[in-house]
Amino acid sequence: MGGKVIQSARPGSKTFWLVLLVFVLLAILPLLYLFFGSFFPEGSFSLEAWRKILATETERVQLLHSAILGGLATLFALLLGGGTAWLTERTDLPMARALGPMALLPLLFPPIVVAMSFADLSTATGLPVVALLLGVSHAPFAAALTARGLRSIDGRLYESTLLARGRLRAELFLLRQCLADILAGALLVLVFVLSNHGVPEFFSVKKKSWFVYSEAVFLRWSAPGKPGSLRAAEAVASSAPLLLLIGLALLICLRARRKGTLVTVASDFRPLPLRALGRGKLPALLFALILPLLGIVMPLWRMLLWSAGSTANHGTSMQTAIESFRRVVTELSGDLGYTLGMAALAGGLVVLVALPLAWEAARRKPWIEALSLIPLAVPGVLLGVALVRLWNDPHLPLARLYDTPALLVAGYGTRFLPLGVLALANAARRLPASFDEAARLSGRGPVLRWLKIQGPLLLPTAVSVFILGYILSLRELDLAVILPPGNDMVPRRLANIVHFGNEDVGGALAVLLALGAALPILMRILLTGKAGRADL
Amino acid sequence: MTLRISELRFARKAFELGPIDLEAQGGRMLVLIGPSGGGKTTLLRLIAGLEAASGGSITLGDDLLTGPGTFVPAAARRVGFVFQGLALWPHMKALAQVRFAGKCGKKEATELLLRAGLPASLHKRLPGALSGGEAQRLAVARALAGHPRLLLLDEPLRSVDPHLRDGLQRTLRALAREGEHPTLCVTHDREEALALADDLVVLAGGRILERGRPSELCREPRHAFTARFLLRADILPLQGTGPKRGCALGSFSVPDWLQGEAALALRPGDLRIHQGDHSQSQPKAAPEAGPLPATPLPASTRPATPTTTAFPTKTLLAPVLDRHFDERGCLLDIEIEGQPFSLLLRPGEPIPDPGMQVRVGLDRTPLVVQADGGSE
Repeated sequence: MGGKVIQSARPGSKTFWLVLLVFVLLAILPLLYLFFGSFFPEGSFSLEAWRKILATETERVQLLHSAILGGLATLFALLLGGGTAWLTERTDLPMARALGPMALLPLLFPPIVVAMSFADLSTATGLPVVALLLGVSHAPFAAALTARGLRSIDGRLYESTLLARGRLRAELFLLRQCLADILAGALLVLVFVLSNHGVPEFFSVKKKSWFVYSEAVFLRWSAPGKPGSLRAAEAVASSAPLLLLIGLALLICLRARRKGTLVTVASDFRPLPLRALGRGKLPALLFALILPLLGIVMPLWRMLLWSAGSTANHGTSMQTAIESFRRVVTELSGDLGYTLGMAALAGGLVVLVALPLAWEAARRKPWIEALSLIPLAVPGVLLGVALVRLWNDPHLPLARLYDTPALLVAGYGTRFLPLGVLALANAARRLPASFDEAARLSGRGPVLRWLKIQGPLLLPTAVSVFILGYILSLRELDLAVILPPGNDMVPRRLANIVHFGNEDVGGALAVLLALGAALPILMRILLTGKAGRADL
Repeated sequence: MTLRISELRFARKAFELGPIDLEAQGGRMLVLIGPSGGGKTTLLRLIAGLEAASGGSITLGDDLLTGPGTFVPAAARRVGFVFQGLALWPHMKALAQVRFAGKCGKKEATELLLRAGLPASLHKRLPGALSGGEAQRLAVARALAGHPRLLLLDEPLRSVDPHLRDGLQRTLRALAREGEHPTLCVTHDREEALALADDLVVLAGGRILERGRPSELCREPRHAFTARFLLRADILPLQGTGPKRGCALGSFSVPDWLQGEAALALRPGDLRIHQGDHSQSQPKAAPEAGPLPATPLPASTRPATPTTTAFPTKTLLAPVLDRHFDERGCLLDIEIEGQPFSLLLRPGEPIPDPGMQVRVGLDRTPLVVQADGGSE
């Protein structure tokens, strides 16, 4: 050892650069390819397509509608998700341990199914109604992050404020402390709502009279013209306002998360004391039940009724229901298996790519988090088209994968990667650097250190990220519509089946899809006794 | 095995450490004391290879660990480290932690845990299920796993209840002395430093202020910080620049080695009350069983350095600010030249009330030390 120069090569850096390259190939390169193409319509440089952004009054009104819909839906999500989280984390609400995880269940049904279920019950099609439905469908983000924020506050801080300044000040202090997490949850809701076109578009069938910008963007992409045409360039340019709006929300979300309270796993920590609800127990319990009722019971009930033939003239019957499920199992089990398999692969891809990126983001390169947000900032349809354009170019080696499920897995994985990076980076930041240092001093190599120290400590979050990627892939409609291997995905099948009036089969399929989505959560609960919402 | 540190430097943002020159012998415990932010932990991290120095060298035995063009990574240094927060891996049982750290078998890991004082019944527990003292013993055992050539302890008794410290201190002393490795321990706790150290180094502001055996530093601290830290002395600046400098208590000879600003380090027992000269009410008698005599200081092994001449008998009136008890007896807080000073009452001496004025003077030779700001 004496006098010898030994390079202290940073462990894992090669893996990181390799993964970053994969990320660039999957997300950045396709978008850049599409973006630069929009400046060269018909083969020559032109800003024509970009000059037409928001040129008409209709587009400006649509963007305003998008902003109002996003704002209202976020408000509903905060009220229902954040409120339920506050009740389950901060009060002696009866059944709080069950109601907390139940606030995440609306994720199991795609927003379009929630919308269809509601439309089955009511004829209302106003913007506030759609905002409520989208708010319910995305409220789990607000619930999970508010709960995380409340769990990160040391109870002693609250108690010292309570003793010094009284109850009101203590509650305000609490709000300020977890504001960053609440804001992060709210902005995630906003991001998903702004890029959602399926639900507003569904209500067009129900004769709604207003339109949002994401519908216009999707419409342009439905017939974007030949690649390289002015029309295709206009389609790219038209996405810019939405991209800016979502990008802004994501950057604020990122800043908010960084400012959020951070409790390391080694900290001396005391949870917040619970507040007694007293006579308010029953109203609080009823409030906490709203989200599961609207987000899971209502769609489950309506879909089961559909499967039993409620939309047909002959009324509902158990026999029809059995027949609907039998038809799904015999005719569509391949699609269902394919969908669940694709979602599982996408979830796995999210974890595999997000893990090294998140580790570097937490330890040395915080800019990775901002970079990784790009796939979530662009509307799903734009990402899909970008992937199609790049992977369909016969001059590029990736063209061979164009028609294979790999394109779909890549699309889903890329789309939901940001959530994985954010969650895992947060978990990595909670691990004191001294854990790794202690392992390094033992002389163990980087692989063993990952397997024995960091890996097991990040595993609960990695599993949660996998489940999130899996569930969100099962809800994603835009990519399934745009990407050719998405033809057999159940959300797309569901939309088609319902469109063509086969609601009984559609209902059964939606129920089975929700069960498939719940599968990893149920397995996790069986294996560990925990739903794992704290790990996100 | 000897650890030699020469001209070691480190800089990050506004913080600068060094140049540090240090030598730690095998089988001995060198304790680094000093205030928080003084650079103690950074020095340990530089030695462990967890930070890269900006200059100087670190040699362990015949091996150069850090030096010009050389940096042996932490993983190759074979250094045992007890971290300040312990850094026990929360998902790994006690025995598994030692086995992983030491790449050793069950038998060896069990022996190490037992040596560190963790009973066999706790070997299969997770760190979260151990008490503060038990977790500390596990951290020590883990640091000793893999036969380290150097043991580094960063505030090793910080999270341990006071009544458990004696046992752990005994264990740490024994472990340091039974091996050939040098042991470096960082602390800002006076009792801990004196209980553990074979050699003491005072580190403040990124520089070594002074070093020596604990008995030497307790008997003749040369720096105001050392006197404050080890002897709980209060510092009274001396005015002037010549060989004799003065203050409200008289004029004092300054030793030859002292360059720059000088100060009096007044230990609580250095001052006494001149009876019968209280300006307000009569003091109460001190309780019979209360105060204990001041602990005699350890004998010196360092060559005697004349720090003072015979002390003057000048007295002055000082207001009593407060009074309190500790293991030494009843202490008065009095004010001299606008600063608070502690005065230890003798057993049976009446206790003045706060607000009274007492006439105080020196009772024994005070220490003349280097005022804050200088270094070794």
